Formats: sequence, structure tokens, C-alpha cells
Amino acid sequence: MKPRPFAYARPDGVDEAVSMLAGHPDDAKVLAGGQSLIPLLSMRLAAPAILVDINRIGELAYVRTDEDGVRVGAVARHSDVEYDEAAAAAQPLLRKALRLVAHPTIRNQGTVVGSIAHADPAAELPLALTLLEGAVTCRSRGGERRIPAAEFFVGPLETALAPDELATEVFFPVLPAGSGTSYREISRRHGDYAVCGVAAVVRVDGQGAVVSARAGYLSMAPTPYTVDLTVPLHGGRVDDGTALDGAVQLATATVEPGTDVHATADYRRHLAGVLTRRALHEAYAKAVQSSDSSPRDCTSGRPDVQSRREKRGRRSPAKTHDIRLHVNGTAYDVTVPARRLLSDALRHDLGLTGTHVGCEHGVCGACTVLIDGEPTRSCLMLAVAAEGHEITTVEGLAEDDGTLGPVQRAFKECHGLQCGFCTPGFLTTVTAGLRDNPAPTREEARDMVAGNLCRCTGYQNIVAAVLGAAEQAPETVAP
Amino acid sequence: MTTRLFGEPIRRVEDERLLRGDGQYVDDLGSDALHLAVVRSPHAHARIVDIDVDAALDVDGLVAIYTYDDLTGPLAEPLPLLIPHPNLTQGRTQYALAKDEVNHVGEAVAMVVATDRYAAEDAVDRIDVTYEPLPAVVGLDAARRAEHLVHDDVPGNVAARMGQSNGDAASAIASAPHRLSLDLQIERSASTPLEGRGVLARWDTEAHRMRVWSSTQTSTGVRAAIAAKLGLDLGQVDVMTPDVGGGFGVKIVHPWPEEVMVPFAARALGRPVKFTEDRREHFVSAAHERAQQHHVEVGFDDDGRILGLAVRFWHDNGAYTPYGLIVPIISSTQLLGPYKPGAYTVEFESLYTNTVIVTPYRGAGRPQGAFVMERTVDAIARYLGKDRIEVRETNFIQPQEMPYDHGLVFQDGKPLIYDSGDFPATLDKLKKLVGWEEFESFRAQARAEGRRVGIGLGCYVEGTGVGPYEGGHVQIETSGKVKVATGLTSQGQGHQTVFAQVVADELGVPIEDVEVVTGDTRRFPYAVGTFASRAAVMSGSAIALAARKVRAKALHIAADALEVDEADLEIVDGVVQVRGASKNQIALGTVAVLSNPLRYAFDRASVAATQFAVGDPTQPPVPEGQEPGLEGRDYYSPNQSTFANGMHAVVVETDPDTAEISILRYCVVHDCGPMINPRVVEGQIHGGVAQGVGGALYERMAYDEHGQLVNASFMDFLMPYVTEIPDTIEIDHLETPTPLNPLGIKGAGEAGVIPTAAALAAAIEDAEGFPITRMPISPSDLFELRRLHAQGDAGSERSDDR
Repeated sequence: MKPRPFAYARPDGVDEAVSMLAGHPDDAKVLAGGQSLIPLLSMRLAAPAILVDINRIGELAYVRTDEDGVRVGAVARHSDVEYDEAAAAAQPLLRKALRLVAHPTIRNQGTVVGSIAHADPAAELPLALTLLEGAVTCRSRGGERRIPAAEFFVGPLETALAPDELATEVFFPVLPAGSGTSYREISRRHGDYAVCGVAAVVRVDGQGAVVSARAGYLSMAPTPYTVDLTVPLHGGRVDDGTALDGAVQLATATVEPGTDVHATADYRRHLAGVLTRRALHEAYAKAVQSSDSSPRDCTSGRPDVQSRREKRGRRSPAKTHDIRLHVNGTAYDVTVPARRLLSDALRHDLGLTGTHVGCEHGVCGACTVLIDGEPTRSCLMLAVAAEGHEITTVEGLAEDDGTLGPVQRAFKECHGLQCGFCTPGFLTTVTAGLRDNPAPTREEARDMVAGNLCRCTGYQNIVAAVLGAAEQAPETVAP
Repeated sequence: MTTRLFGEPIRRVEDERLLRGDGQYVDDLGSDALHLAVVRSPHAHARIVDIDVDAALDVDGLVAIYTYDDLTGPLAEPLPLLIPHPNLTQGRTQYALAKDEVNHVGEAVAMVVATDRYAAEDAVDRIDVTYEPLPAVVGLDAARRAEHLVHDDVPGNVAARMGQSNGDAASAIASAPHRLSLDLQIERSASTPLEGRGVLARWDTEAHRMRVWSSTQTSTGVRAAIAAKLGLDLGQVDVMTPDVGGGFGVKIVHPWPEEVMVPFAARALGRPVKFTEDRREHFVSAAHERAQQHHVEVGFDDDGRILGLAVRFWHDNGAYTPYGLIVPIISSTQLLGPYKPGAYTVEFESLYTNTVIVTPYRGAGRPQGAFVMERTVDAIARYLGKDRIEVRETNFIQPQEMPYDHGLVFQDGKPLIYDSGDFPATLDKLKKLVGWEEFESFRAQARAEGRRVGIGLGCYVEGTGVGPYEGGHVQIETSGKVKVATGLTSQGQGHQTVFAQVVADELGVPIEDVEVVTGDTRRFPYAVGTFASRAAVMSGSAIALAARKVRAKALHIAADALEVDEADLEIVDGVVQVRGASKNQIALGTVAVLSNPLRYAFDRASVAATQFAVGDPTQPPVPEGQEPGLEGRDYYSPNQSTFANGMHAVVVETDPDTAEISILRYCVVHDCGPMINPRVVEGQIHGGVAQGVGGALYERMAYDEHGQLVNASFMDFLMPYVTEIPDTIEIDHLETPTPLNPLGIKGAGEAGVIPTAAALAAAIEDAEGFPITRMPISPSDLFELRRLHAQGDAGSERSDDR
């Protein structure tokens, strides 16, 4: 599972990026977070001639919130938006949707705009954008245009973007006062694409009577599918059984789910009904709550989005690149083909074989390393794209005096490993997790490792090790 | 006296290197090696018309391409049928590279060697194989219908038919007061270790020796296979098993096509060559297991006592049968669990399908057997309106009946005789652990809250420590350090720790001084492998016996040196001393010096050992019957397996709206005899239960009718994350020793996975009120079952009352 050869370019401005796209109208792909694109490349299901890496375009690294809504630049990560308090306050559905996207490690690299441009009908964000009637801004050499969500998604993995266009921003509008939202889904495993997902927006008047209601469905149609449920619910309360039954009936009558290995169409349709009911209930309750509360405070977003992404380092299109990788505090100069995965570069070019490769499509987590301190799948990143970032691998987790670090010690104390193959990915993930949350509850400890697969331990002792490491970690001093 | 380490939950010695990222898995080795990649069949069943490699020839970095036509001699013959059996009349194995037909998606058709894996895949991309597709036989229904054949010359797709009986089950059933019949199914799953298969080979062009590192469960097996296939003397081949990232059964199969082709290419090219299987390949080219359909007829009395049991089943063996009939034989015998049916008869057919081969996966046929038996016992209880525990107790073999002979032949060709176990005591512990008596009040309380809960049980007996033998070698160096070697391999079980515990106890040395090497044919060339929960029993026993030999020799030499009676000596912390007179002592390292008379002094220790310094001048330096060196080698070869057992109870909740299934509690009572390291045993149980939960609720191999595996990725093959596994697995132990080996121990590796599907099916059935006869079960499956039962037209159980 290695990509076919391609050229790689890393412009540092939008103008340069769109001219590159214009130069390769049929065979360029834009690389943002890469969490969906790299697996497609590794499985050789996609084979562009050139990848245009937009990650160093500083002007696209933003999350901006104002009275109209939330604007997310093309380089903002899921996690940038997820932790942005202003964005969450202005458009609560956004955070709800983001928390359902895969696992935190994937959200550290994946981008909101990238997910929308990828247009997977099972993905949460395209549906959120559609339901909220947001829009995508795109640029080409011909100029800028704004495409409403309703026109943006044209089929599974197909959008209205022209080949020479770059999606630069998505806009999630705020909802009028008296609105409430909900995002419910059922997936086979925590973090998987949903078997069925329902998002709902309900608006009420001052008396708690429904003014409008809409629901949207994941995995039920080739594109994000929404239904207006105002008619059955209008003027009433959602907790009125008959009206709700009518809305559920209307919704389930129109969805057209398919059967696959995870669920039958009938089961999905059934879930659509169950989740419509649950989502409308929640959205209605939130709406009633919001109609009572004072206007939102729309302060600016997380300040470090810009700084995290402002690393510069333009690269012209080429098939091989001389790069310097900073790993565990050491600089390594290597020449890599554009297609070389970071996992392979670490293991085979740098000889740091502690990072293991278990699936090469980003699901198992064995290859997780820290990129600027954030857990990242090294199989979902190109080595050339890692240039300029500080990388920490398992080899870098020991103490300065060479003894095991606190997380490593805890795994040893608690028998948190058997064959040891998945262990490095757990160690890096937990190291970052405990830095951010030094005293996790048991539930939080489980969540911390919820994106990593282990086939040996049954996870019992891994969770014990997380809690053990938290106990033995020195008191962290707040900055 | 040194603290006894046997039984202590000490930390593992393996962990330090693994935690630092210093583990050495196959792909971590051979940075100078060429890479091999495989052209695999996209068809489940096809004739190969042509292989056109022209377009691949100008790929940068290409070194070689091999097809069947490049193979000669034994390598051109089919791969070995590892475990022949008289009933396996139609055994078939694949070629290292497909000759003229492919029989499953993923079968190796051609191989490419290139400077790196990227280039190798580029070349694979450009090799154009023309196939003539043939009808694919997918699934047991199609195999049984036999409208199409997998192998032209195998009528009915039947590889083997086999039956065994103890007593006249048919008559016993016919005359029983009550009868039930059930149809029960288990789907395909797979071991799925996080490290795939991998092999690295170096051919020494000067010494004419082959060194191979393989991610295998049997280095000696791989060695013998490579020697045979490549026409080498066994003595020319060394096979080393480095750290292995999980096995769970799949890596006992050998040789894989790549395992012979990599050394073949290394020799042909005179350069090291490596193959690292990727995840997508693992799904379609390694082995699967579990798929079986079963039909049960059972006759019983008013107490639920089983008078006669007749089981017919159909086993999907995939495209080839390299591992013989091991899995269905285990199902057919281990099905009986802790019970003694009045009479028993079992018959199975092992059937070919155009899917990946089937070989043992942790549990190896036992999860299916336990599912069949436990579902049957539950059906009896439900039918009679009796408590499920009571019906089990009625049918248990009693401790005083041990050893208990079932009158059947086990997978090793030996009589199925249980050596030990106390099943009533085990169940009693489980009852208390899970709170069986209190469950109804919990159910009532849950029901009042609109919740649906259920409880289920699963009991099993597992033949562990299967033969033929393992060996151990123990050597005390002049430094006092103890070097231990055994031939079987390790995949994370903690052998380096537990074997060191055994040796430290036997020799009276600090465990820090003991170093254990496994799976290296240079260190120990006689071995079978790591499977069937056998490593601790087999190698643990062999190493204990070898250590005892060394101890005896050490005491003998020390007694001479100290001029005391051997019987007065003890060994404490690596020092031989006279009991009660600790001043009269000699370090084991010094004993090692004395054990090896030398002509040449090369260091301080050896000065003491030159022939002019030691010994009785009237005797030869090495007395007759003695050997130089403080070392010993011994083997353990039992006449039969030792039988561990366990019982699980699980409490589930099923969502009345969404049909989601959640596990509220999971309880295990386990008896593997005395535990060398309880922490390691519990780790094995945790992992087994997690795999069992995966197999019961999440994992399946979803083939479409064309034989394409449609969920061949970690996106869609739903190996559980922590979020899918119960928060706590509650464990209690019973330690009933076996009389069969020097340590009294039984195997524990597979235990956790065996009754999980049975227990979960029972709990879901208990929550839902209708029979669960097929596993795994997803929320979607449960939803469809609810609809079926609401319509009242379901049921794979028939009853017949007299």
C-alpha cells in the first residue's frame, strides 16, 4: 500500500496555488489534512500527477466568528474549530458534528474544508453545512465565487468545484434566535462512519411553538439529504406525540438508504426514524432554552490557529525533495520522493523503527507520532510535508537520563502491552493526552486511547496504565 | 532462601525494549534488503491464460519478476499439506505461485523484487495477467449445493468426511423423553494481528548458508520447509523469530508462498530480500477461520440430563487444506466441554470454497464447539423451564470422575481424556462473581426503567499443551549468568519472563541473571511451535527439566569442590552453599568454571579451570559419563494434552429502539492450574475476551457472491477499539493442578476467546426472548431478528415431546 509517483508542490499563497491547479487541470489534487486523500493514494485508488499542498498558506489558517456565522479557512484543522469557543457559541451544531468525526488524532490533521470538498455522503460536516444552508468559497485564476451548500454537493465524492478551483473557506451561518440543534448518530464502533446519522434544526417562537424544523441525514443518499419538517410540527411543541410521529413518518418515508456489510436498508430507515425523534427532541429543547437566553457573545477564535500553521517553506513541483526532518530534537537531512510516507521515512530513512505500521490507512494508530506535540498518524502524512515540524516518536519519550518516561513506566507497571507492536502509538498518544489532561477520569482515560487498536491486551491494562501514568506524572505547573 | 518466583505477578522483562521502540520486528531488520511484492488474483476462481510482464520491465528499481515458470524442483510442486489425516482424502494445497488456476481473491500469481516497496508495487501495477473467470463457490450453502466445484477433481467440494461416536446416540435420542433439534451457525473471522506476515532472507554466497527471519509461530517448521523447497541441507538454514507483532494462530501456517519465495530470490539474486505484508494483503492472503454450520439433535430427560447428542456440521476450509482437519476435529471433540452426554455422535464435512484458506485462529474450532454445546444446554433449560445453571450442573463431569475418558480421539490422535478440573466449583465461583441469584431483581428494576437486559453463560474445556514435544537448554556461564533457549516462538505471551521465573526457581538464581531466547533454530533446533495454548506447558516443563539437570550437575561438582555431601547443599542467589553454614560456599559461575577443564587460560576465571589447576589427577579431566560445561538439555513429551477449563458470564443490555447491544458486565472464572505469572495469565484472558467480543459482535469476513471480500480494511472489518470492550473484565481463578507435567500447569493462551460468542448469544437471547442461533450478531441483525419474531415466522429450533 504505497502511492504511485507524483510531483509535490507547496505554494505559500492562494494565487500560486490556483495557478498550479490551472496548470494541471485534470491531474492535480489538493492536499490539506490528507486524512482521506492519503489512504486513497496508498491504496492506489487515486493517482494524481501532482499534489498541491496548501498547508503552508498562512492566509487560509483561520477560524473567524462574527454575528453572521463561522468562517473556516482551508487550512484550519477539525481540532482548531472544535476547540474554538466563539465558533461553538455562535454555531453549536458545528462542534457537535466535529466531535463525531473519527478520532481526535484524525481531527488534529483533518481539515473542515477538506472534509467538505471530499463530499463523502457518510461524513458529518457536509451534512452540517447543507442543513445550516452554508456556503463554500472557492478561488481560481478567474476569481472567487461562492457556492451555496445546496449546489455544492452533486454526488458521492463529487462537488461543484471546477478542477482549477480551490475551496478556500466554508461558511456556517448562525441561526436566528430561538433555534436549537442536535446531531445524533449510530456507528458500529465509536469513531466510525455512521450507520445512520441525523442532524436537526428547530426554531421556536417565544411561546415554545415550532416555527420551523429541518432534519438532515447521513449515509441515506448520494449527497447530504435534508427534509423540511416544518409542516407536521408547525405551531406545536415537539414533545407533542402526534406531531412528532408525523414528522418522523415524513422523514423516514423519503430517505433512501442502502444495504451494506454493516446494516440493512430497513434497519437504517428504522434508525432514521429513531434518531429523527431523538434529534428533534434535543433540538427543540435547545431551541426553547435559547429563546430564553441572552444574545451570544461572539469573541474571537482560538488564537493559536494562525501560529500553529504559519510555518513557511514553499516548495516547487518536483518528484524528489531534499528535506530536513526534526525528530526527537535531532535534525536529519534526507532526500525523499514526494510520495514517501512519513512512517516509511522515519522507519527506513532515519532508522527510527520504533514507529510501527499496522494498516497504512489511518485506522489502527500504531504509527502515531507527535507533530508539534499533537498526535498524528505518520502513515497519513507525506515526509516532505512534515518538513519544519517538530516530530516526536517513541524513541523520544524516555527521560533525559535515559530511563523510561512516566507513560512508558506505567505501561510496564500495569502490563499494558503484550506483543508491543501497537504500543508506540499508544505511548505517543497518551503522552500528549496527559499533557492536555493530567488527571483524567476513567472515562477520559478510555477516550484518550479510543483511536488506537490493540489486538493483544483487551485494553484493560492500557487504561490502567493511562491512569497509572497520570498518578506518577509530576505536578504540571500552569503557565 | 530466594523468594519463589513461580506464582508471582512480576513485571515482564520484554517490556523495556518494546517500550523504548527498540523491539525488533521483521520489518525493522534488513535495511539493506530488496523488497518483494506480490501480484495477487483479483478473481475468486479463474484460469490463468497469460502473464504479460513487459510493461513492468522499465520500472525504476525493478530487480526481478518471478512467475510459476521460474520455479523448479520441489519449489514447483504444491506447498506441503502440513497435517495429513486418513480422512482428508481430497487434500489440496496451493503452489508458491499459481500454476494455471487461482482459487481465491488474493492468491499469489507473480512476485516482484525491487529496490523498495514503492518500486515493487509500481511493477506489480504493470503486470498484466489475463484470466478466464470460472464460477466461484462462496459460502457453505454454495459449497454444499456443489453446483460448481472449487477443484474439478473434488466431487461435491468435499475435502473430508469424518465421524466419531461414543455409544449409540441415535437410539438414546429416539428413546429420550424430550428431544430438540437446533441449527447453529458461526461466520468467518480472522486472527488479524497488528503486524502482518513478514520474512527476510540473507543468502551467504561464500558460506552457502541461508539465514531467514520470519514473523512466524514456528521457526523450526519454516526452517525445514525452506530446506525442503530450496533443496538445501537443514544444516545450511537458520531461522530466527524476532519480536512478533501478534500471531493468534495465523502465523503457525508455513511455509507461506512468500516464506519460500523470499529465500529463493535472496539466493538467486545474491542479495538480502524482504517481504512485509500490508494490511490489505493480510485480509486476502493470510488465513481465516470459524465459519461452520451445525445441526444438533439432542435427547434429554425431565431433569435436563442429556441422554444422547448427535451433531452434524459443515466446515468451510476455504480454497486449500494446508493445515489438515485440525479445526473441525477440535470442534467435534471439544464441543463436549464440561459435560458428559449419555451417548455422542458427531459427523462433519470439510468443504472447499473459493475463499481464503482456513487454519486455526485462537480457540481453533472451540468457539464454534462451545457455541453449539452451550446453545443446546440453554435450549434444554428453556424448554424445560429450568434454571440454566441447574441444567449445566446436572450434566457436569464430577471431579471424582477424573481422569474422564470421552471415548473419542482428540486432534493429536490421542484419546480424549480429561486429566483434571472441578467444574461444579468453577460454576459456583462464577455464580457468586456475577451474582446469578440477584439478576432477576436487577432485570425487574431495569424493566421498570424501560430497559432490556439479559444474562448469559458460556462454559468450555480446552485441551492445552498438545504434543508431540518441546525442549529446553539451560547453560550457566562462568559469569554466573544463565542462558536459556527453547525452540518455540513468542508473539507477546511473555515467555522471556515466565520461563525465566521457572529457571530462577529451579536453579536458585536471581531472575535478572536469566536470559531466555525463543524461536532461534541456531540456539535450539528441535521444536514444534507456539499454538494450542502449549508454550508454558511444553517449553515451561522442558526448561524446568533441563534446569533440574543443570542443578544436579552443579550440586555434584560443588559437593566435590566443597568436599561435602550433595544432599547438604542448597543454591541461594546463585551461590551453592552448605545448608546452615553459609560460609562454606561456591558461586555457580565458579562451578561453571570447574565444569569445563581447559588447556588454555584466557581470562581470570579460566585460569582456575586449566587442567593443571583442578580435578582428581587419577581421573580423566572429563570423567566417563560426564560432559564439559554446566549445561543441560531436556525435553517434555506428554502422552496427552492437559485440559484447562473456564466459565464466563455476561450481562448485556439491548436498546429497544436501536437494537444496539452493550455489555454491562463480563465475568470470567478460569482454571489453568497453578499460574506461573498471574498477571500474564490475566492479560491473556483480557485479550482473549476482547477477541471474543470482536468475533461475537463486530467482526466478520463479508464475501460477496463473486468471492470478493468487501470489507478488507480496518475501516470495515470492525476490530474493537477500547470503546467496544467492557470497561472491566472481572476475573476469578481456580488452580486445579494437572498430574501430567512437572509444574502442574495447563495452557491459558486461548481461553478467553472460547465461550465468548456462546455467552453473548445467551445473554442477548435472555434479553430479547427469542433464540439466537447465529453469530456474530450486529444491531442490524438483531433488528431484523426482532422483525422476524414479531411476525412469528422465525425459528431454527424444533422440539419433539414424547
